[in-house]
Amino acid sequence: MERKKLLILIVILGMGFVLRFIKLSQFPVSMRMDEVAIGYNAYSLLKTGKDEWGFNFPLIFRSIGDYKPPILVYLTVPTIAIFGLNEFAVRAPAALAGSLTVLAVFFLVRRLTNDNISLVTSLLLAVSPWHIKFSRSSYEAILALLFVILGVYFFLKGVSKLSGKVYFYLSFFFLALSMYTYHSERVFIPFLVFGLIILYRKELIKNKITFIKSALWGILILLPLIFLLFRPEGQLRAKNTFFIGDLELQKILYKSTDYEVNPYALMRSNTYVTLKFWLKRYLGYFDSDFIFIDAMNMTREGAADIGILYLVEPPFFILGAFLAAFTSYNLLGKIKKLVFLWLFLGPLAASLANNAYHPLRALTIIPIYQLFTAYGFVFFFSKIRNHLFKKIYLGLSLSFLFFNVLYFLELYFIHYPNAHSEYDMDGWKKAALFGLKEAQKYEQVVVDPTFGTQGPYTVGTPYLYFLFYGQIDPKEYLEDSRRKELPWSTNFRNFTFRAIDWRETPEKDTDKYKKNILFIGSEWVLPAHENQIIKRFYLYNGKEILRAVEVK
Amino acid sequence: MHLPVRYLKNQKLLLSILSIGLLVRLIYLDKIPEGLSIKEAQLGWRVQNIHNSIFLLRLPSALFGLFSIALVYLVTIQLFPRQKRLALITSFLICFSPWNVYLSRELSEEIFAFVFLLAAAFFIFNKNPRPIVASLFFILSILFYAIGWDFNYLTDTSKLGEINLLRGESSQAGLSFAGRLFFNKFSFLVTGVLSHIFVNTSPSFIFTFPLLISFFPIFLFGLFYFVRQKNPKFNLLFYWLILGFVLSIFVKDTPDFKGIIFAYYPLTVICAYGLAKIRPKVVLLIISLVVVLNFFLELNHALVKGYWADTNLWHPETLEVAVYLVNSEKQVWLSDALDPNPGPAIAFLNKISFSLSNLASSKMYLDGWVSVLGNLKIGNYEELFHNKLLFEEYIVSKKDREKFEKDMACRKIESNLIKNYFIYNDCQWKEKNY
Repeated sequence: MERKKLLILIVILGMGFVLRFIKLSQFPVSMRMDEVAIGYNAYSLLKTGKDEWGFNFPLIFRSIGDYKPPILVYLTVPTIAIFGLNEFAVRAPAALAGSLTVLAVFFLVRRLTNDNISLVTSLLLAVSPWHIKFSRSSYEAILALLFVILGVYFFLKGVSKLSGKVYFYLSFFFLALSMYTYHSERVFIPFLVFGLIILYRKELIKNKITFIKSALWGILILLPLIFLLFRPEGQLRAKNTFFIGDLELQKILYKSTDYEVNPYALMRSNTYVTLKFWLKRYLGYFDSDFIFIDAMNMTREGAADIGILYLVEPPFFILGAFLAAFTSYNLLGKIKKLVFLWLFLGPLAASLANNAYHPLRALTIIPIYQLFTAYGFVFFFSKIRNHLFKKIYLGLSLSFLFFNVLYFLELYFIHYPNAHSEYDMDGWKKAALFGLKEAQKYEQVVVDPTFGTQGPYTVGTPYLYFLFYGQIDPKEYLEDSRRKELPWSTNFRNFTFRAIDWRETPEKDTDKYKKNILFIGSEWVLPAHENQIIKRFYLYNGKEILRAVEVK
Repeated sequence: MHLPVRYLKNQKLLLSILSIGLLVRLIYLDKIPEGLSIKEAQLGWRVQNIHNSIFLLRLPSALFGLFSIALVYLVTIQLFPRQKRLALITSFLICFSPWNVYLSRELSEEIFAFVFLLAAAFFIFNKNPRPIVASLFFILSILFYAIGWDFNYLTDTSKLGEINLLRGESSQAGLSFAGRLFFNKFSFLVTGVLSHIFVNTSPSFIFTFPLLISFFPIFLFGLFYFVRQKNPKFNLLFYWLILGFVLSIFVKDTPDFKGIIFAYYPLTVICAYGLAKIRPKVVLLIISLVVVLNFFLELNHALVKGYWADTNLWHPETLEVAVYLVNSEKQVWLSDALDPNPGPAIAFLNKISFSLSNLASSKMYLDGWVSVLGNLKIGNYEELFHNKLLFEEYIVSKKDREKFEKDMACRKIESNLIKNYFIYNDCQWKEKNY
């Protein structure tokens, strides 16, 4: 590679790194419940070799009952060992994986096309709102994406060399690892691998012994996961999020029995309605308003937002997609088929899950979307003959991109915390630190997990915030006698996590009458008298979210 | 001038398609969709056609639906003179397109706009073009389409609130310049315009609503061949498609299958182009699938179950009330909880003439809202309760029934004519509620 291009790549990588690590501890302003769960489970593994429930080096983490994939938790162990149990240590693995993805994408796209397109693709990924947002918060999907890219890269490297032994092993290792890392990949990877085998069958036949051995190696790595997927806890996530249970679909299916007229009873057609509903969900990931206008949901409902791609990208993206589909410009034969296979498989898992337009679940498509934009951009560039015009084109495009990045940063650092910190469990850190500090003064600290500014609609996991910010020794937590009070109890020391009963009763037996107890909860469960409120906890936007109450 | 008749000679297949198209559009026209849309009721009341028949009210739309099939054939054969098969498949797809059948079976301006646009295209693409006639048809088409135009987003003052809110947050963070730079009327207008276009060009909307599942693979297949052609006619269709979508910025910002009416022709041609490339036997198989999926399943959902009728509701229950009220001389109160504006439909079906005297007594406002119709008073329960009004008879919706029976002492009337309402007479307001 030319020195100039190498320099550009280093600048892009630096930019990607900075955008993912700058103020990482402070933004997002609050740790999501998954983040504290990952952090404390990693801390527990580091100290005891067990998760928070006492399972030795598990392959699936029960955590808050959602049975988390294991890789990110294990990768968080070293960062916690180095930096301690804090926000930075928990977020660093995803941020690092995100930064490295920029480099991995460069190498992958370079293998698919050429230096220029791969440089532009990695630049777009480095500044991508879609990728930055999820890299800065401990999301498994970011890590899984890196593994997918590496897996495909090594596969392509393997098929291009007759002695690609190591590459095939590496490829299957990373692809298998990605399936351990995030749920979407468990749907995406089998189809992708099947497609790769069909596309590159001739090359694989030439290398059949190595290929079979490496495939067996991949299957060997996957055996525990396959075993797990047959167990109820392994199926839980898929069952809970499968689109059949989606409220919107259920509403439509319910409605389809309305207005039923006898001659049409034969056409009850729930299968058709379900199929159509799924197709709508699937195609939704190709909707332009989702891609360019409002996918990221970073501001209040109805306000200006940002898509998964910047608003400067549509002309290049549309042109790039068009060129890729219908011309042979730079993308040929198998490569083209691979790109479109990836594109069409990308949203498959997301479309099979509940909730429409879920950018995190569809993150797998990101390299293809960025590739299309880069493709269109480079095509335009190559068509300009005049050197000065080339410079103007480049300057204008970079200026617009810069403007878009600034817009994203403004949304991310200012408006996103204002609009959405509630959903990132803002307030629980302060409440936990206060509760931990005051705990000795009371017989008990009772914490209610329900909260929300519009009503008690969100159920948090406050015990994790108390464990995380109190840096409670996992050994002590595991052995705490209070954890045996109930099955799956999370109570420890004098902290009790349960619903608060603030009713007035003639018997005076509810929490409202209990003294020497510190109650922490939202205004919905603690409508206490002013003089009973000893501390209020506020969201980033200044709204009260939690309060501490003592009966006097 | 090449007359349509010449193209239609010896066209057994086309005539078959037209016959099926006519049948599909006319069969049970008065019963499916059941009920009357507000638009149909209001127009029906004004026009007062013979026998006040719903069939006759919808007949113009059905006939225009039929014309659209014929015109699609004619326009396609003019654009692609040697591709009779393409023209036939296109007209077949239009014949069984749920959106076209749907719009042909209710009184809708959009089917007229579509036919006038095709007529304009016919006269402009003719070997001897008639630009003036074409322009007239085009203007007619735009006029009919324009009935549904909505420029609300250009003047939506609530956007100012959003802008101020976002700017305020920026200012609080010490970045008031950035706030002004990113959140202003211009940026909101740009994203508003783009958003209008994007929502109406979304694959999830086009292929699950107007074009439907069965068209999706056919479209992809057709598009693949379509864009590889060097034929300038294809470019023309491409621009037509773009224009069809761009015009949707003038309609609502939620996807509306009526908003992209001008884009249907090129979309259908692309689908047909894919089918024309396939062997006839396979085409037959696919066409059977299209017929089953689009016609039987989708239209069953659209027309019978009323899925598509989100914005232009039919209220079959209003017909029950209308039938019940025929020749009624009583002072009747009707709850508006089930159908907010049943007046025009009742007036139309009971042959109450749209005269000035009736207008005055009906308190019919500019937007067609009817609250009094002769002896019939239509209103909400809260108003009735507040004024403690007494009528000879009350027709109460299921929603209001509980409150009504709590407040009123009545005699319930059993009637086979009404299923969705409850009828009461000899009513008195209960003392305790005074």
